[in-house]
Amino acid sequence: MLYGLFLAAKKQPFSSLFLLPIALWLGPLGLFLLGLLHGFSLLEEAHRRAQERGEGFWTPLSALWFPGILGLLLAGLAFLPLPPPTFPLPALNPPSLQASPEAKSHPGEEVAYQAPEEGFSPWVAFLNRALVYAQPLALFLLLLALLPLLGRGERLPCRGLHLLPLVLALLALGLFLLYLGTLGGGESLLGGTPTAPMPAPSQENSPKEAIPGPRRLGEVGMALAGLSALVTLGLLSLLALLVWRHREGERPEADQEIEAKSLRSFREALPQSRVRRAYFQALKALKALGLPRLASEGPLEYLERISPLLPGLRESLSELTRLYLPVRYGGKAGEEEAERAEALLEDILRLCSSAVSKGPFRAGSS
Amino acid sequence: MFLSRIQRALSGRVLLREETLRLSLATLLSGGHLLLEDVPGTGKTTFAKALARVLGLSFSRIQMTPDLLPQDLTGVYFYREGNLEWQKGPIFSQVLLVDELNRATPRTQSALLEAMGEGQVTLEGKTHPLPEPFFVLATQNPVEEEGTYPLPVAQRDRFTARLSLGHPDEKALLQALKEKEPLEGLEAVTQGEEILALRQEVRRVGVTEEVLDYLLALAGWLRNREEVRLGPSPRALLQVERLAQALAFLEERPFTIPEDIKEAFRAAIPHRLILRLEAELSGASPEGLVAEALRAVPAPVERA
Repeated sequence: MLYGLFLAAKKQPFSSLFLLPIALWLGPLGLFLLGLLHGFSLLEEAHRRAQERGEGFWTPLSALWFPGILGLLLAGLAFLPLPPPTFPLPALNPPSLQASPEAKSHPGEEVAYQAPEEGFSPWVAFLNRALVYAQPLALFLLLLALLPLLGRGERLPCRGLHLLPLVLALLALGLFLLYLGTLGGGESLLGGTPTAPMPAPSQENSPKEAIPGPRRLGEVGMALAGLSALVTLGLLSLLALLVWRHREGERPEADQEIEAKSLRSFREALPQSRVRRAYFQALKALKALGLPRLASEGPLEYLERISPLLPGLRESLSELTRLYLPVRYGGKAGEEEAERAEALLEDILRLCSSAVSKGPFRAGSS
Repeated sequence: MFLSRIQRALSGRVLLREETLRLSLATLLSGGHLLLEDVPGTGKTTFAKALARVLGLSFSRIQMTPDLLPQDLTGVYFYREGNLEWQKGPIFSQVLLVDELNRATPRTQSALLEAMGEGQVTLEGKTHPLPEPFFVLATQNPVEEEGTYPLPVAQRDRFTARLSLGHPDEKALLQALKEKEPLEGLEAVTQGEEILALRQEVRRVGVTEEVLDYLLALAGWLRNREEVRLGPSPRALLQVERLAQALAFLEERPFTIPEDIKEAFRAAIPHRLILRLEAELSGASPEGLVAEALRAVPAPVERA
């Protein structure tokens, strides 16, 4: 299970394989949660791969149905004729804070019955209530919190932090079930709700025997479960805050991206870029003609080398080079220069195409 | 404009190729010094004299010999009528032609170090500034080995560029044969103040970061070669940059291009490179390595 959680923290989809036993143990709810986790892991993996390829990965809202359906399908597995879970689940009634009437009518069984007459101590009662209401709320919030966290695991201060509430929620659930189990063992003596026999020591003993019931254990278990549920809620709130702050921090980045994009398009429209692009296109055309510029050649050296080979191009290319030099090495160009460079490029392309029709040059044919 | 003025003034007077004159003037404008390496009789001294004259600068010439002392260059203090008097040496001129520099002993050669590096001479604890602009044109004879002292690295590093005048073509030679007195009637077309002002202009010529990166890439390529024991120094690269700026300025360009860097690199680096003995024995030369570097390193130009 720990390895499964570790893999889940690493966003490995096959962590589900290791978490399956515990999900089976938890029953439909566990399988549902596992399905959700698996679905999210898959989406996260897809997101990561898209990022690696440098592609944008926008999760459409409809894609969020995927984990849900997967969870339901997995939960549906629980209704298959599989061997029953070893741990019998008692009815998930809120633990009674009052001593049962049976307890009063059978004073001799007070030892076996776990709930004290005066009820649980106030702090246990509080935690009990917290457990009853906070646990489903924590799970619900967990599911909600996982949605915006999708694909953000690596951006959080600690990788995999968003899975911690899930772990805690599971812990709380486990403790709660343990508590119910132990309590159920006591109640079974009175013909209470749990119908399945408990593999607890209490079951082996005769009902009439005074059993040291797991009252203390029940109290502590319930308290721990309630505490875990509260911590889960607290962590979820903290996580939501972190995500919110991260999103706040990301906004300038997004703005910068937009700025960079608009700057790029702005730069492309600048006269300098137009002149450089015209020169680049001319180089491409000459390369296609079999006269590529050598990597070590400067613009003037190149012009000097190819001018005797293409006398018709000499003038245009010379002027284009003259326009290109101050742009590339001096950073200056006006609108006029850009227009002139584009006109020269047209000339060069026309002359190149007519030269192609006469037959291609070979590099170094001079 | 400056170049064409000097070219017009020197036209037909000295046996000079255009690029040699360009590089010489660029060296002058970059604030550096020039090492002329050529066989005797190719017009080195005439060129130096003619250049000094058209530039309107004071000129002196020193013929180096093994028995020459540093004081013969810098000057001496002598006792006359109860007072110590100082007699300035030939170094106190604006254009100094040092003939056959490698004939002098290292001690005398090193007397030039301070003068070339800092434009001053220190004698008897007193510093004397040299006249500005101060431009050293030194020649060395590459053929004769007897009785010569090869220039130490520090001395070579002081020279911005090394040039070879080379043999003139037939037309220029014919012109030279007709000209009985080449320096007669040469007039100054500029003056010291203008040259100092032009040096300031040269410093304003733009060099983009990618052009500087190109220069660094060239130097790095050389340093990483097995054949090279000592690659270009940081001072050498600074001088290449300045020389490239001056070359661009002479072309009336307010920015440097890769070709300027290449030309400056070709002129300024080979005489500073020290190769391993095995490489020299196997026929490698600094000039060849520099040419190889210029062919191997991609220039910062649009790539199609």
